[in-house]
Amino acid sequence: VIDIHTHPVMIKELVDSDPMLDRNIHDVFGFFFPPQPLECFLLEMDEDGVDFAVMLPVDCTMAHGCKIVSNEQVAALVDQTSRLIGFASVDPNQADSPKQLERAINTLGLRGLKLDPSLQCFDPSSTEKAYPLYEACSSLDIPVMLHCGMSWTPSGLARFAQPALLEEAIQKFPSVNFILAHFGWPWVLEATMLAVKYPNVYLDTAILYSGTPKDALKHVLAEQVGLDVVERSLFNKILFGSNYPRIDMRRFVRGVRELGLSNGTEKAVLNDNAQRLLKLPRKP
Amino acid sequence: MKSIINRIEIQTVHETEMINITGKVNELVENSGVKNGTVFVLSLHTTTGITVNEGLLDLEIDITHMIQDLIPDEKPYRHSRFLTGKWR
Repeated sequence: VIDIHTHPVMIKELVDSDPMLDRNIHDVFGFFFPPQPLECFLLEMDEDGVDFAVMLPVDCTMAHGCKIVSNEQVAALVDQTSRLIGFASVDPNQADSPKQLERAINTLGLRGLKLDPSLQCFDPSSTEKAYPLYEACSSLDIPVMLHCGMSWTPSGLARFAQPALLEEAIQKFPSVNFILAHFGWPWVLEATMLAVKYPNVYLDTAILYSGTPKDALKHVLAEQVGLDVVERSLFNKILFGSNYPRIDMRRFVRGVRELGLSNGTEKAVLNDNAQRLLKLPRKP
Repeated sequence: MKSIINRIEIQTVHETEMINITGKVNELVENSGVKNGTVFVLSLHTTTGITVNEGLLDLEIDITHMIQDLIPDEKPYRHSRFLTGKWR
């Protein structure tokens, strides 16, 4: 199992080493649980068979004067265990962000780009701010994950995170794989439309607005989208993502397993689609 | 009266589990040098409890199952939702 959507905001080793990070996680990211050792995170992964987790930072320097963990911090964390995969984040509001991304990928060994238009306060359809980054993703041959839909961050505006804003970029950069996070909730059908139509669009399962992970997954995938559509048109487009630590990763794995997907689709969602997208070696 | 306070950290592995801490408590008492007194064991974690019973594996499994039956994942708990802002 590969969890493509986790945030390193509850890792004690990281929080303890950066005096400002704790405040920023509270005030900017809107997360309030006390940190726990990295070992706890790895044990949670073990509990329901998660082999690898992608760690996502967010660089919101211009909007909030901070990074919700830096690329360097993610790289240092990833160095501690082979089970973590690091994405980079750069701030599209900074003119040299494509150069920063190039450095994060080529020097720090990070494997993708995370953007959060709500938290970073930028329009992901902006040819001036966003397109140079999509161009860089194309050159670097890395995927970009964009926060889509409602943001739980206190100041995050959903209007920057509407999936349809991305359609022209998706067309313009066919070699870039766009991962639309959170299934775009509440614009679920809009996100589904993009994933059904465009080969370079993926959706992650990190959906939770109320109820348990099982409730939310059932409501969106089974009732709103329909398991028939998932099986026929999205089987190779959905990536397992938990949004840890906002959501319990273990319960999210169980929620996917209890959806009633065919064995092939369940395996694709939990592992194979992300393995292919991230170019990870197959398990021996 | 002499008071000694010790704090130990225990790493849990599962969502519901019994962990026998008798050995750790005995060791702390021995190391304290106190020969006659009372030990109070308290948990700082909100969803942890301390119980005294025979240290039998079967009993521990039965208690774990009882807790899981008492508070199953499936019930529609009111607090199964996102809390917006601290403690709301």
